[in-house]
Amino acid sequence: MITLGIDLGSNTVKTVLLRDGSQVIARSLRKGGHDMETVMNECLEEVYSAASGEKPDKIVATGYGRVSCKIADKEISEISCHGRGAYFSMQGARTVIDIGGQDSKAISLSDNGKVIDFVMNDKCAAGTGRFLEVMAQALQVPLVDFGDVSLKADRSVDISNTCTVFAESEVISLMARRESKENIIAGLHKAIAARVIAMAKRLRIEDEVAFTGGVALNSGVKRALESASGKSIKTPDHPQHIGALGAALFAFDMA
Amino acid sequence: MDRADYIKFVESVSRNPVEQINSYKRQERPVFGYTCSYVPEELIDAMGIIPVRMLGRAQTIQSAERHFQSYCCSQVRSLMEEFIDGVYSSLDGLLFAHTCDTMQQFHDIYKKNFPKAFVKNINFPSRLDGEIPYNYALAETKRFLKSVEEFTGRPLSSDSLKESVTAYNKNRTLLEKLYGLHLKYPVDIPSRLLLQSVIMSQCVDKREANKWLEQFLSSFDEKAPEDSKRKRIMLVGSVNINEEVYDLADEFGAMIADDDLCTGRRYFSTQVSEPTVEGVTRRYLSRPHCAAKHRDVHSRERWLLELIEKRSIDGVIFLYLKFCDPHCFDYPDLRKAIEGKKVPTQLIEMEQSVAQSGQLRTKLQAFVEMIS
Repeated sequence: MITLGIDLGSNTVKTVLLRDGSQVIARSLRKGGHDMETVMNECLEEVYSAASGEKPDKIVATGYGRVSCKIADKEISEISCHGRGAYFSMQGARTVIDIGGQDSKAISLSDNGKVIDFVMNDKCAAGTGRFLEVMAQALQVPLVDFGDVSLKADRSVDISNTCTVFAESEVISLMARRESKENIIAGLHKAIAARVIAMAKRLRIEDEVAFTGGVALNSGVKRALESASGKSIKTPDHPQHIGALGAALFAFDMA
Repeated sequence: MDRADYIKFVESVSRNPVEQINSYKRQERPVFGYTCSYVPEELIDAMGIIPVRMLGRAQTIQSAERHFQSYCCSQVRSLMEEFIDGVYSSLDGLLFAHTCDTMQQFHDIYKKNFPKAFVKNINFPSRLDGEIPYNYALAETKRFLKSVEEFTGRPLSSDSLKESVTAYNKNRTLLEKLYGLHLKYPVDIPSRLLLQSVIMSQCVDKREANKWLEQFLSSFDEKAPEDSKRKRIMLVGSVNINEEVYDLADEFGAMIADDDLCTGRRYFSTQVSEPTVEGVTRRYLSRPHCAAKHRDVHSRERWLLELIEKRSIDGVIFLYLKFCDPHCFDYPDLRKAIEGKKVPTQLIEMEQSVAQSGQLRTKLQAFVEMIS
């Protein structure tokens, strides 16, 4: 039995092909764009060829583009999919913090992995991957280097504006004052962590915390989240694919 | 009239009551706008004036920015925008009731900017229980009534008050019946019809509203209930005009089964038991109150828990306007009380009239998945 999960996120398209609800056969990830369907088809070709052409029995779509995914048998919210995928990847996870391109969310799981509560940011970009993207542009530091660069900071500056647009101005002012990029980036990580943990505290943050989504690849944000929450936070393997994995698991339930 | 006519009518009036106001004006009937459901409508109606609920629908705020800071709620900001734009220029007067600070300031700012308009504020007490609040509310209602009598040039007649109270009580009964039938026929009576029917009732002469409701509801007399196992969601908040929340609940296989909203159940709960000014005053003091009023520390909590049990509610969504401080201050205690009964909750904060993003869809869908 093969199932497919498709996560059509605001920034990237992710797919996970799963055998018997337990073994990941292939994953793919591509930058999204206006023509999401073409990007999705490219992702599908990639996973299908890795699976020697085997096609899925059931498909579940999640993410913002889920409503327009014509090939899916069902669409399920990314909250449920991230909860399911995180619990599968990290047995015992009770709190999931997901920071994606457009939103951030915290999910509480019961001891058997069921979503029992969640919080999600509003339309504001603060506390999301978009916040860091804007700052990467202002600082002219590639986003993938943010984690390592922040390690070299001797202090983290305070970024007092939570609004992305105002925070960008603040970063530009800090640069003009010759504050080091390392310290600014460490400050940005602290700011995003403060925002996300404040939101997550509307739930109860348990000891077993999984950090998922594209921003989970940034070790600097993970450290800042640990510092802000006082919890040891684990990033499962392939954190960007957790939503697609959860979707593939739900597809297996349907098959 | 068939069901489709009713649906078309309530949709049209609830989304834009201006045409309705204009048609009354063409009949040379005076119309007062009112901004809050604590305005004792029966008295206005009995004076021959049609009260029409004012709900801000302006999608962009420009002119109102000069009058209200961005921390004021979008209901007040968008309504002020429409007043400045002259959307409701055919109104004969505008009525306010004391609830939150923003609404109180709205009255003052409006009066200052439209000095020639007939504008009245009823200082309804914040504390609702006991004889002192009753005596205060009665004196205030009488003062308010006097100003309306001066406007019309004639006193309130007890016969017309009796007739108005009958029409209003009937409207309350019909809306209650609609809410009940919605549980049995969630497909034929989609959730959004609750919202649209209440707003229609707030904007149309009660006799006309009752006629529409009666005909629509009678079409279900012989109908077998739909076989439905939809999860039941209850909305809690202040005013709301957003239909999307209702539509999304239906789309995801759940339903908005009941609510505690000013544009919902709070409007039609509690009948006037005696057709006098005293009786009307007592009704407004005793109806389920909003977050800006106070009966005792746990009165809202008790009311919500009773409703949750009575309607077998599976989940509660706190649907708040951003910056609505009375409701936001109530939120932690209410959430704790409701979740204490093992009923999950979710908080959604919105701006009136602003198009919602994918987040609303995701939140609603995830909530339905969670309670299913």
